Amino acid sequence: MNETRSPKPAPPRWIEAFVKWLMPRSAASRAEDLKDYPLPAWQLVWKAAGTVSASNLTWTRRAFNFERVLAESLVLSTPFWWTPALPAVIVVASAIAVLRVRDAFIYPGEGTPAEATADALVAASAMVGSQLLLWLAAPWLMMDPAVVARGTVIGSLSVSLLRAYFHLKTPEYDPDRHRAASWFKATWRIMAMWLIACITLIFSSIEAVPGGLVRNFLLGFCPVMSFFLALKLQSNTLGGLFRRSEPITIFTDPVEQELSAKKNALWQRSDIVLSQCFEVVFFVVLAFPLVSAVWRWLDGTAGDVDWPQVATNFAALLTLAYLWTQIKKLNTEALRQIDEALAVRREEAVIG
Amino acid sequence: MNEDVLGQFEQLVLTAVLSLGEDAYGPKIHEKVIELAEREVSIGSVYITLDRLEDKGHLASKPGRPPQWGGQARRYYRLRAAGQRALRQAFETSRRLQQTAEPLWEFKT
Repeated sequence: MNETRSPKPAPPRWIEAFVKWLMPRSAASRAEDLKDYPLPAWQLVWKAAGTVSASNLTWTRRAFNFERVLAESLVLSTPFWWTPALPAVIVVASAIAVLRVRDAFIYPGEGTPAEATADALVAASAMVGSQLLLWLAAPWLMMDPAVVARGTVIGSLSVSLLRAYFHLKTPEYDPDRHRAASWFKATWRIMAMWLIACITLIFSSIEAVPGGLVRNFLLGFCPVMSFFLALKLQSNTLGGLFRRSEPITIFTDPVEQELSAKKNALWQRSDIVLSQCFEVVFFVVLAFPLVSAVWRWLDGTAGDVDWPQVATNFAALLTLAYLWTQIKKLNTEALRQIDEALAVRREEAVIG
Repeated sequence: MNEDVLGQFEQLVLTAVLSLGEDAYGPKIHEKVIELAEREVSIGSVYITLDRLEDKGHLASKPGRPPQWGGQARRYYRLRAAGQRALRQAFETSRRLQQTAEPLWEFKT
């Protein structure tokens, strides 16, 4: 991989400068690649256009962060809450789109005051620019200049503060870590939704089969507790589920620690009997009101039981139990992805 | 989604990187892809594919040494184990297709 090239006829300076100016920070080395094409300027412009557009597209995709877009949309739209919807959407969407390209340019971002100032200027230019374009193309969609001015100042300043914070927290590009993290996030989102469905089921069952206050409290509290206890008991770590459990030293790889912590927060095939017991307890508590309805019917005291609701909840319980088997498979796949990322990381640390 | 299944252009790019060994950087890969595909291919599509393969974990890249006469260091690409596995799988599929189709072509012609 040593550089053995001999100097070649360089491309015209203006093309080189233009490409460097348009290229995202993380793909800057591609401007150098153009020196390998001994072509006339007009042909080189085409190659440069391809290189620049491909790099911008890739880095816009890589730098995209859904939470950031959501937060920025909220902050930028706040000054326009009392204005007509469509013109406000156009102004905010323009700023959001241009900020995505800016994200690609400065990825991963350093959160410096200079960057924050540039962010504010970019957002403001996009908002004003959108009005200029509307003035040319569709004047009836323009907003009152005073509202635009106020919204631009408030929106761009607040978005710049928000982005300074986000840039400080943006990790370096690491595809393995990113892939493993996406699997982890997706798995936990589905587990959270499943857990919410379980809690909804238990509250619905409590209503369908009325009981005392203490029983209702225990039925509402126990499933969540037993789920997290089962999850916690299977991971052999101290501290919370989502925290790194080991101290960070100069000999430890923080990314490896982060991935290990993610592994611990996933549902693993557990040999720990107590963990398996809590998993069973979870489903027993979930089924308890339904079983107690049948008990009351046998006992002849089922006058206040809402039977259609009990039947529906029983079907829901069976569905949730089946979904749990699928969620466990998803956890296994997420664990495999994290293990693969860890293995690659260790292998590449050895190669250097 | 099975990330091990490669498209035809991805196969071309991975094969180019594999064949170039230590010397696999943008323009060289582009040149090799044109040679393998026997048609004109834009540099933009090669870069986009390189980036996508890197995101999938099939390729790894790192900067080389900066040139002596100044300028940015180039990015060199190499195949990772997942890339080799995916490429081998693609070749095996192609071989099976060829074995199935070839006798039929001979019969028809």
